[in-house]
Amino acid sequence: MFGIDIGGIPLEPALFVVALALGAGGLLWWDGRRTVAPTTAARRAVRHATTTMGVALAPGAAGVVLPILSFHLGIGPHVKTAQLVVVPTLGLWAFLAVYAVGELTWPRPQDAHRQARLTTRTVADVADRTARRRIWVTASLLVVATALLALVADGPDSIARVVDGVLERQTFFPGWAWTGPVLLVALLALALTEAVLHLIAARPAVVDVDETWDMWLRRRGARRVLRVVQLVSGLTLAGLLGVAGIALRMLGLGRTTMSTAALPVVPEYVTLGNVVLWVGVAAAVATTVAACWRWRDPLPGTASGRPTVEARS
Amino acid sequence: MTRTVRIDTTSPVPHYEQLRSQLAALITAGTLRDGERLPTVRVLAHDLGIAPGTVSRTYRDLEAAGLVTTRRRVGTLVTAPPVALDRAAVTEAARRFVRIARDHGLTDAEVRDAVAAELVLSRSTG
Repeated sequence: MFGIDIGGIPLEPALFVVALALGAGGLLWWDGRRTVAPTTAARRAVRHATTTMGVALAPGAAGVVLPILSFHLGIGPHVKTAQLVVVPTLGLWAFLAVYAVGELTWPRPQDAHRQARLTTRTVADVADRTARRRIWVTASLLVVATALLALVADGPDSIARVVDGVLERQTFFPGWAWTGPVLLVALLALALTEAVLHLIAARPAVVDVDETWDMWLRRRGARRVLRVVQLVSGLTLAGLLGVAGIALRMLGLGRTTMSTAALPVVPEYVTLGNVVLWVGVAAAVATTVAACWRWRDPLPGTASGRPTVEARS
Repeated sequence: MTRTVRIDTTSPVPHYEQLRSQLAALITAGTLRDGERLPTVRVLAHDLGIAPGTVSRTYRDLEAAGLVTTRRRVGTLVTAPPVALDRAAVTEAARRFVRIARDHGLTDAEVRDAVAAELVLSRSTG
């Protein structure tokens, strides 16, 4: 399964775990330094939020890295490509599940005297409307793309052409065997995302801080969730388009999986393949920009009179 | 009047009753206006660190008293009592009474006991 062993421990997963632990530790340290927490309870809340994010990112990152390691480097468990394409979204499920646990275990008020503000909080109050809309647009594009790819496919995972009465087939194509599971897990991930956003809106308010600070922390959490969801769903779409583009190009160039002799080039297939490939690249760039976009959401000034800082998360 | 509710977990008064009396007071005083939406049961329960069933019971009691109404998909809305001269006079009298009680150094519990005693007396004489 794995390449090098050190004392019985496979090297690659061990390195991956160490890198994740270092990344989570670094995130905790960095977040603790840049966030102004006005009270002890606020500091505890920031720590809880950052720990949740650090732990949740581990399976999420594994979901993105493992298919790359497996497909390109042959490291890790060898599974079919059709199964491999759902791994990032399964990683996203794990990320959302861990995040949900973090929200459900949010510190609750323990004092004898407790107080609550009579304000309503909905998902719209905590999650940025534009970011949420982008995710729904990405999901819609994923639905359209998977439906089109399944329609043009010649089989579960192939595409074919007929030139001079000869059928040639390229068997590395995202047909319904790929797109069906991808679509299913992606739509479930969207439902999970909405559930997590509801949990963020409904979790207990941080005690001893004003409402604006509490809402800021909620918005930051929601923003982080939306970034990860945007990245995974967008890159899944880009990946499918990229593979489809390469397959179409190969088919047009006559380099099919069935061919033994030189086949004639069909420029239309090559052009279409190039277009689909570049749309995939554009989707990857756009989704990365959208996910990494720096929202201006200033951290509210604290009661202790410390200056307001610009918070970017 | 602030738009917050408080719970004293050491008080012998049940949580739902503490919550009910404060919400009723906020609605009667006009701090919570007609048609205003109250937090969901889950949100208020989480913020106060109490069971959702407790908040649920409070909302049910308030609904029975005609102070709130619960609608599916909308939530719990304040239904302010009709503004009437007699109610305004009673509210003003209550405000005066509380001020006097505070001036005489009475605690909240003693103020409540005084009102409860008067209610019992008025029932027995009336």
